[in-house]
Amino acid sequence: MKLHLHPRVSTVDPAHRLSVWVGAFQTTQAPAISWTLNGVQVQPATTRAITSARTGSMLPDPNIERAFTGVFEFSGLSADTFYQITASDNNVSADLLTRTLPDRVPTGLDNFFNVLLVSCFHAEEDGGGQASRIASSLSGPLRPHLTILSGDQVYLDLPTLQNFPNQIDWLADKFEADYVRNWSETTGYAGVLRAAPSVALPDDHEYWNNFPHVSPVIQNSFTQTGRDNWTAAAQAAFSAFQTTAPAGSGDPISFDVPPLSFFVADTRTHKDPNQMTTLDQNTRDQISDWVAHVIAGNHFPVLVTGQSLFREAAGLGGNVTDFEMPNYSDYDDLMRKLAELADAGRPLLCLTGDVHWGRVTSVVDLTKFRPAMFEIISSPTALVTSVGFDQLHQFTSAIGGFFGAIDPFPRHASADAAPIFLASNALSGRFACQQMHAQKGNHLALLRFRQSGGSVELRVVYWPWPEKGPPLPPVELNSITLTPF
Amino acid sequence: MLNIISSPAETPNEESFRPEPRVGTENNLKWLARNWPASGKQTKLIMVGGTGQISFRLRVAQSHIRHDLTPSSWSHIMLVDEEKTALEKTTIKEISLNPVNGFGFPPMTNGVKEVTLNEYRNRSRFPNIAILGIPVDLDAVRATLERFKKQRAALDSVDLILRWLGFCWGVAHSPNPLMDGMGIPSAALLDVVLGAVGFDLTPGLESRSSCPEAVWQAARWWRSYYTDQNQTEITGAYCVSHKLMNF
Repeated sequence: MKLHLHPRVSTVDPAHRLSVWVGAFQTTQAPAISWTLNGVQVQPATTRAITSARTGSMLPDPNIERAFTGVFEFSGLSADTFYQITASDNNVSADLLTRTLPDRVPTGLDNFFNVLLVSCFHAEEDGGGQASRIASSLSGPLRPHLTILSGDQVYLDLPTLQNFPNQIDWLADKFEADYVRNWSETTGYAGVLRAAPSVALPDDHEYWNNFPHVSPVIQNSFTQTGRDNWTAAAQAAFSAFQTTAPAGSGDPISFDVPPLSFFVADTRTHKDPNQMTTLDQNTRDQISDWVAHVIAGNHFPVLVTGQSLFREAAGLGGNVTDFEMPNYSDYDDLMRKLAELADAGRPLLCLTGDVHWGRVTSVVDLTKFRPAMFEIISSPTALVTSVGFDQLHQFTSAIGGFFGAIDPFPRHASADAAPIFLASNALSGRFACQQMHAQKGNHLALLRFRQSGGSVELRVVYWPWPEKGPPLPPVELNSITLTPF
Repeated sequence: MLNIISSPAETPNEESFRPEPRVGTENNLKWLARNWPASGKQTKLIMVGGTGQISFRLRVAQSHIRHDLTPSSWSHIMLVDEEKTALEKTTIKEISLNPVNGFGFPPMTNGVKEVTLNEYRNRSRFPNIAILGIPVDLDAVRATLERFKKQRAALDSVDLILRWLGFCWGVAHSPNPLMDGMGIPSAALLDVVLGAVGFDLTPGLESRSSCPEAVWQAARWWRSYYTDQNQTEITGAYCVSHKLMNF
């Protein structure tokens, strides 16, 4: 048996509580774990007891070695403080050094609240653990307090050209193996997952490309039974490995690091196959409550989604690649609700991934001529393999290299332009978009927040890494100031 | 045109930040003595608009944050550090692009230097002058400023100094640093330090992009912002007797 610990955000009082996800791999029964906190034996609260990741029809043989996972919470802690946590069962143990979130975004010159924003990680293209190496190297004043995993932490639908049996136990076994690899190996995502307490949401590859729609490259999605089996197995794996209990799969998560208020919306799990909704009623209700909470408390809202809100609807190509948020009928209502933040003068920060390029966009409210929204995209951490396209891009890049500089990111696309007006169908021409930065290639993004007067200063640093060649320096952008208006 | 946010106010604040013409041929020290705020621990800033070459370049550079693109009346801003009965001996903290005794080695203090107010007494060299009262405790500002001297990660003033000297001296193709979001160091210093103690000096502009013209606009036009944010507005007085353009 091997034990693994990853810190998770406690959504209630995250400055004084720490959640820890524990995974016990290669075992046939749940371990009986004893815990220490800073060397002292303690008994944390059980948020989700350690259970087999696969159960019922996904586990025809209960005697096979597999993964067990659970979530535990330590309370009564000090804000912004490191803790050494140890979990052990007989002769097997695992250590974790992590820290609580700050109780407020710092003021003063020296301190920042650091948020690591990542998405889209394909382990085979990670250059032998590059993402984990960079995340682990962020130390001292750059060490993240919080990691936001904004989707595609695994690619369950790869390899693209392989047909998967339409058997729920086979699918569950395959998905669990994908998670175990990314969650435990140094060439996986473990370094990113251990960098700071994290909060995660799924995007399509936590299910399959363009979930829940039929995908021409996913044979299992052709039939309702195929889709049902895959969905059940993928959701079980997501619940076991990624949910921040007590929130379950598909549930939104919100927490405050005053004056910031975070809302993490799963924009994938509840997508309607008929494109009527991308959010369920519970999430829509909670967004309404959150908007009211932000306005009443004079908070600075931070909305995390699995897909960008700053996109145009996809055309017919969306059937092959992925539909965008505006393809779903509830997008307009969502944007009208978010516009209430601008009505109240609260500048909105949107964070997302998904698109395989980075971008920073600002939005001016033309009724007030003030910056009303910003969007930061961080994608990909390690670009997924695209059979055929990658080889073509690498070939053309090599040819181009004879005549000029070699492109360090031959497989990566450049950022799309933001729409001229945000959600113009719902909001007309009220919100004008302006691109501030485009980031190409594999990267992690570090968002550094600091209170400055009555505003919040945000410094965005992209940490790119090339697939070949020498390391690249971090790219620090001009500061963004979130100012009430 | 730089991306500065304009205030929604329709009229300038001339009640708490009022015009005060010179009396006769009084120099800047006498003008300041006449308009010195009464409060004790309140932070005070002094802003000047000069007529020398460096001042001219700075004033023109800031035209990009004015809606009419005309040169600014202001070229420099400084913090009143220790008040003395004899005003000329009052010490100030500043980052000057034309320091009295030369630059020395700016990295030691992140560019911050201390001089006396006497350096700015000459009304011919500095015909435009303003005194601004900032509603934050001076001791907190001083402590933060001392920290600032050793914290180039907060604002690399040395970088700003070099960029602005390149522009002011017309070195090669040196562009206007404001267009790249690089503020004039004297104002960027105060914007960052005051922000760290809870006051928005320039609500319309990011701190590291700050400049004296943005402070002027904040004092004149952003009164409602401070009220909305439960902050006390900037108070004080000014005298603008030199303009680079007249319509």
